[in-house]
Amino acid sequence: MRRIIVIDGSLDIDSPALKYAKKASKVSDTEIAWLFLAPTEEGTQSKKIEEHLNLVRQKLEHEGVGFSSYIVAPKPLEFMNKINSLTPANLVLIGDVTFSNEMKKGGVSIESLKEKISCPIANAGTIEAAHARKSSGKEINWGKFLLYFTGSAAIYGLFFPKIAMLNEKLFMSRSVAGALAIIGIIIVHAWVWGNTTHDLPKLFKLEK
Amino acid sequence: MVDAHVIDSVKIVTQIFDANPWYMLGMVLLGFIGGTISGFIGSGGAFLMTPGMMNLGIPGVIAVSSNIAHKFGKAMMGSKKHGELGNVDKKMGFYLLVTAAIGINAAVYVNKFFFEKMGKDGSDLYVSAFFIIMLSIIGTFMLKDALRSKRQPGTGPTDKLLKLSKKFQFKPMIHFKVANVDISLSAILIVGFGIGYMAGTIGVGGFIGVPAMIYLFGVPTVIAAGTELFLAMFTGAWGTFNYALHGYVDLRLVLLLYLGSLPGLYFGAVATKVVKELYIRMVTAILILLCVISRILAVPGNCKNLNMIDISKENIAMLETGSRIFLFGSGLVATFLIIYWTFSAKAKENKAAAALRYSGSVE
Repeated sequence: MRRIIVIDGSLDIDSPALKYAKKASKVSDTEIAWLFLAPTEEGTQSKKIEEHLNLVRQKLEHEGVGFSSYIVAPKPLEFMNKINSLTPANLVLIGDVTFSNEMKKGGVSIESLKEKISCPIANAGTIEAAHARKSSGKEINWGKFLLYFTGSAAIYGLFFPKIAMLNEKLFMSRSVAGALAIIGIIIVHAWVWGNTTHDLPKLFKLEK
Repeated sequence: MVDAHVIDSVKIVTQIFDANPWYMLGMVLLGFIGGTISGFIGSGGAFLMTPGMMNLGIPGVIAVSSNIAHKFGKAMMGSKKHGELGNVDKKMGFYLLVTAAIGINAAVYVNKFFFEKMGKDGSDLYVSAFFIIMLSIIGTFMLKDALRSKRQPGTGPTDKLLKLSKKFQFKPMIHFKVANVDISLSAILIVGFGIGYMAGTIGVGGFIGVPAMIYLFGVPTVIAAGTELFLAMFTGAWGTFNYALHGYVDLRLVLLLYLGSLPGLYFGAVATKVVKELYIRMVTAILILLCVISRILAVPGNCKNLNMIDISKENIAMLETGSRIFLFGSGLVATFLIIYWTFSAKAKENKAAAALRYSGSVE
């Protein structure tokens, strides 16, 4: 089953986690499975949550998004059992939820979930913050890239062929000057080539 | 073919590249494999690059020294980023550095001794023996720990060694604020020397530094990795300077490694965001053990050249080929897996979150 698991404890029908899950679900043709963390034995509160989840279900189904919901007690074993029954999933989206000390002691935290679940885990708050950032900050600075690229080309194209000759005269002459020259060149080269390659993941769209 | 007894460190790399220019490409590929794995596991890829260079005919001492020089620049870039994130305990880094510098000097002296007294094969044999012993222990320990985590999900690194080390805490104790731990001065100085000696001998100080900080000192993993990079910057610079003073650092090797390693480093780093930590630990451990096997296969060749054993040339050639296949094969498979995991996980993530990323507004 293709699904997005939402872990949320908010009664807000426009909660960030739900908004993003809905958007992601529409483009990826996945259903939403909502894990609502709340004590299951509190009658009035439980009824209120069920009403809220029904309302959400109606709204989402009206928009053509598959939806299922589960009220889960904030206990590590119950929570992990439910997660295990819903995985594999395509995405886990964490919304307005705080893992209690009991859950943390039982090994439930965002970090441990990342270790146990193979799909991407995203935080709705982080996505919202990233969304608010201006798109210009995400792009490659082509001017800077070109500058460093030119520097790298010069190092490999012009300097590299001369190293054999310079080794005898300076770099491998067993002198303090030669040793210092090597260190200086490494610093400059690591900086120039490092900055040239820094944006490669962005070029391959592996990073924002 | 390079004469096994040539000990002119200035000419030997030129001889190798003149005899086989494709080895330059091999160096770049080695850098890429090492860089990708290094970015993925968060530690240096020298455990693969040092023996890899030796497999291409570079004498052990030059392979180690060029690797330290390469690591120095890489650590400089990595440490900057960790420092910005607050993951570096500089005070701990400086304490470790005191004896690490002594350890490096000792290692340079010993390495130089073997190279000058016994030539390329003596140097290779010493580096290989050290490599096999140390990395067998580390690789086995890491694999056992990773398998333990697999059996008991949610558990972190074992705390047995931490409990044991608490029994040997001699005064004075020093408090490290960033890592929030108290460590015996004697312990930190001993570990510092170990890091320095190992970095100076086989170029992989981080493999002793990071586990020691985590398992013996109880330092959080992220701070251990950041502090190790900070330390590696100084030990790298010091090691480079000392080896360069003896004429063992060939910049061509360093620059060729960089050509492949830095792009690989960024791919490996991206992979850590989409691959389970347990997989990362298991890949690292298995890869280390495969590199150990590769080195074991290379040893008889050095022993024969030093007249220590009698073995036919055909058998030596077969073992050397096996050694290369193990090293480059395992490195290539690991690199391929890392890149495959990255692209496939990113493709899934991109599809699921496309609207979140590219739409200008939220409903």
